[in-house]
Amino acid sequence: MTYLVPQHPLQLVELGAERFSRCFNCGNCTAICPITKEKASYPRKLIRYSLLGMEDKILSSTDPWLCYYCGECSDQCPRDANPGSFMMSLRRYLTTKYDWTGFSKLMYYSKKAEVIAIIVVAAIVGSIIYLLHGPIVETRVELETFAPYLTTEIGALTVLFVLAGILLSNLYRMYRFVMRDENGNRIRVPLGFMIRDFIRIVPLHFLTQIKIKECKDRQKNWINHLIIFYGYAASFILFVPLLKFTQTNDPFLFVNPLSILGIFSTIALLYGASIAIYGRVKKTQPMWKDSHSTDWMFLILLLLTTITGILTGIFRTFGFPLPTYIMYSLHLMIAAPFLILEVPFAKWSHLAYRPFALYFESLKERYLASKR
Amino acid sequence: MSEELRIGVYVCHCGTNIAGVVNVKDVVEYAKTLPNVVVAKEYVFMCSAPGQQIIKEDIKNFKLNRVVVAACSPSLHEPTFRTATAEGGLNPYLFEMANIREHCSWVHPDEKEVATTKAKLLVKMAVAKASLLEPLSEIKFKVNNTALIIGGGVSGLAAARDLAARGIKTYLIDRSPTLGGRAARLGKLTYTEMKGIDVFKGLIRDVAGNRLIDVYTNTELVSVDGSVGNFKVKLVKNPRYVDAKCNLCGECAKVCPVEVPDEFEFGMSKRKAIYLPFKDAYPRIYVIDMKSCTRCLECVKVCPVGAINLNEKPSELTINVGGIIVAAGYDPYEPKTGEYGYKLSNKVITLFQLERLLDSEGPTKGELIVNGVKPKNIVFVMCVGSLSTTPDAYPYCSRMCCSSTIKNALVLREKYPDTNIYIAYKDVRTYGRGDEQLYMKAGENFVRFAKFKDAPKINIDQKGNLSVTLFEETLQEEITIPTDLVVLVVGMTPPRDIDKVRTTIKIGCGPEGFLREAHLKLRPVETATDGVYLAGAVTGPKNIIESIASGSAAASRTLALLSKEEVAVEPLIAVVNEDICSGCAICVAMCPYGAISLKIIDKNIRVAKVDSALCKGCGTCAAACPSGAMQQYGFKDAQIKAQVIAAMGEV
Repeated sequence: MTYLVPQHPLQLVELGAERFSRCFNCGNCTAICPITKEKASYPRKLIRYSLLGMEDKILSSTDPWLCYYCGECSDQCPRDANPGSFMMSLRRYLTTKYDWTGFSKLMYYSKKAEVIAIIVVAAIVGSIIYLLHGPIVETRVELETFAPYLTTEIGALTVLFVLAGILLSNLYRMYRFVMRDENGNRIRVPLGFMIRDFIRIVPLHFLTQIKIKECKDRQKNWINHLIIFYGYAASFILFVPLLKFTQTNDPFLFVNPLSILGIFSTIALLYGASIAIYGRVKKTQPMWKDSHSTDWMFLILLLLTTITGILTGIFRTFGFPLPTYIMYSLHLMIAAPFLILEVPFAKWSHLAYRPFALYFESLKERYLASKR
Repeated sequence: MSEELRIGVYVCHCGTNIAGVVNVKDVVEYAKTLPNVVVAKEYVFMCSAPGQQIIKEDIKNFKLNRVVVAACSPSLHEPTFRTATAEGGLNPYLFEMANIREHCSWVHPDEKEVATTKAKLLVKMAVAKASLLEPLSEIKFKVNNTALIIGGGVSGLAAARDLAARGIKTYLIDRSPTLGGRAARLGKLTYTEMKGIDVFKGLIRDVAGNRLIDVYTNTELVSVDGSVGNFKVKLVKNPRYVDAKCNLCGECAKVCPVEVPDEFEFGMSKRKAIYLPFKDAYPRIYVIDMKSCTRCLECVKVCPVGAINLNEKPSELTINVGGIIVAAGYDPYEPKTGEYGYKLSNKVITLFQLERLLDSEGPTKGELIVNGVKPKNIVFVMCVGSLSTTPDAYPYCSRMCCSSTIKNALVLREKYPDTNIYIAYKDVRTYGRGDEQLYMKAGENFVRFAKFKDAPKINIDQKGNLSVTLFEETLQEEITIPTDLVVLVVGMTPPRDIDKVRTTIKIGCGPEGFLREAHLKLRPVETATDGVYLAGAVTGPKNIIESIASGSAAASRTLALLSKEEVAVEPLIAVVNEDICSGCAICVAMCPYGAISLKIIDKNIRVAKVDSALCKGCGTCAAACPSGAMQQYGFKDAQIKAQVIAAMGEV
């Protein structure tokens, strides 16, 4: 017996679901969906769950993470209920539910709160730089002196651990929500299987995102995704754990493999972010048709982080000390809220939730198979 | 009959319907050998104009005085060939028909020879009967061009309006103390800004004070005699105890000490024993509900115009009308106590009660307040009493309730946007104009639809909290919806006591008790009883639009009758041979139409007498008569005997 939460579907409207309450349950969306499997029945079933307010069913479902929004369902819907945007809103909704800090909810439900949070984090980082920066050498570029390595690295690593901690704890919450049978009872799978499936599924899908290709016409989209992903991953590694080697006073030249990687990764980010912003403005793809404020904020912060990083490199290379320091400060003030807020609490978290959804799904199947 | 018999026999092919099985040529040749047959012919379609022409010409050329056609069922083409016979110059009742299609070729498609033999025998029987046919003439009556309408709801009002507009004197009766019926109690109607009361006011404008329309409220039918064009109707007018001097001052209701549930508000508020049924009731006169009145006489003392008379007695009156329209309407399905939690919690109400609650003139002035609180979650349970949802439910769809439910859901969502509304449905049938858009709009407005097959269960816990449990068909899962209010969407049932009206006027009914039309498609507002018509939901669930349309349709059919000077009735009725009638009166008891009485022709000698206006020619009396004194024109004993002998041979 499922107890209903009547208010539930109204939250999805705030999260960008359009017109999905028009659904009259014909099932065309599920029939046309290239990835929904025999047993699963989305988007249809999820729409029904949501409209009736069956929150538990939504929370325990991994299906929303399997959808890549190719838009076929929305094209075919006879009631123009836009199931694609509904699935999108479910991912946002689940993100707010997995997150225990409440920040995610704050950011997704209030544009104002999101902006204020970003400004606050930027201001904190700004004040830390103002208070802790080293001597300002104006004769030549002394970035190392302006921002002593140890201070910056401690900051960067703090960000890294906080971020990883939140993301991991949210993943654990996701596990708790998802690992339930149809009656809502918690299910367990032997540790051996958990380890085996983790190794089999998570790294592969995290690194290749190969699932996207199952959707209709998604080859190009898959490549874009990979470009942004690897650009981001490379920059992250370069400028957080390897900060010692990248935050230098040297001109930013093609002198070592690291700087070559740095240039390529920033170009990849610049390209990826531009393509995504252009796509969202022009609404070139179904998934870019209904942009939530967090989507814009994510892309804008990503683009600004990249641009300020590149400009820092250029000023450093051409020997403008003050512009370098100012640009670097700005870079940190933008990168910090981007990493702290957008990554664990908003859109970027799907990077973790998608492969883990596949993983949990596989564990669930194992449980059901053992039941049979 | 001394003249020489000259019989013409015509065998129809009916395309291949008959000729494909029966050897028509053989039948024709055989017919020629039968006694008194002077001509026998075949034709591909006897009912066609050339086919009829053959009959007409042969009557002249061969001086025929009997015509036999072997073709389809008499119920299909007997009138056609009677007319042809008459146009040929013969009395139309000198025609006989042999059914060699339904009774022969269609039922023996694989036995051609046997079928041909059977066809020959059928023709032989028809010829034998034809030899004994007598000329008959139609019975004609003058038409009384006034009408009676039973039921003052929207369909009855529409019929009265239309009849009066054509100058027909109309009696409009209703057993309740006011006109208006059910529709007057409904709130806002779908796809219009009108309320039920506005529809009533729109119709009453043309009825109230119309000198051609006599309105009798508190009036019931006692008996109906006579037949089409000439009905004699006895009515009983129950006392109102307040007369037309009433000036609606309301002083009487103020002093009346008796309070009872107000039926107009479905018991959700109280009224006094002396009351005006509702604000716009017609006639605009107070009425006393004598069942609850204590005769304390307070009202009589206080009435400034002396309009109250507690000693008023029921009065009988008799009216003569040419046609009757039955517009008795419907009753909402009344769930039994405990059915869907009905009456176990006052948070379980019917759709009709909700209509009253949402009416700005209703008991809560249009605010949804149940039990003193405004419900936040509301569940509508559709198909209560309809669509065989429970073992006791009617099998039909009540048609108006889907649209009405969705309309109310939208009204609620607009009025109280924070209300969550679920509609538990078996099927959504929003067939009316604009209603499908309403369904779509409800979806857009987050009215939630949950589909069930077996009736949902209403749970009431110890604290009185409600929830609705159902097996959701689209998900194949059981769900429980917590709720503050359950609205039972009850369907429409035949009105209570309709059987009394039905048997008094002699109208058929369907298995559920709704009155039955003469023909569902071709004659939807007529009944099998000539001169009696049906309007509105008394034939089955209808919405207001359909009810008013059928009221107009019934008026139109009634006018077709009443605009005639006289009506003709087939002469195939019973007749008594007074010489041999013993006056045993078996026929009097048997006659289902009350057409036979005994008349005294001499001291101690009584004989049966048939009222030709009432006799329907069913033949019951003729079959029952022990002496053979009772005969039926067209089916006399001798004629049937001749057929039997033709078929079986002399015994």
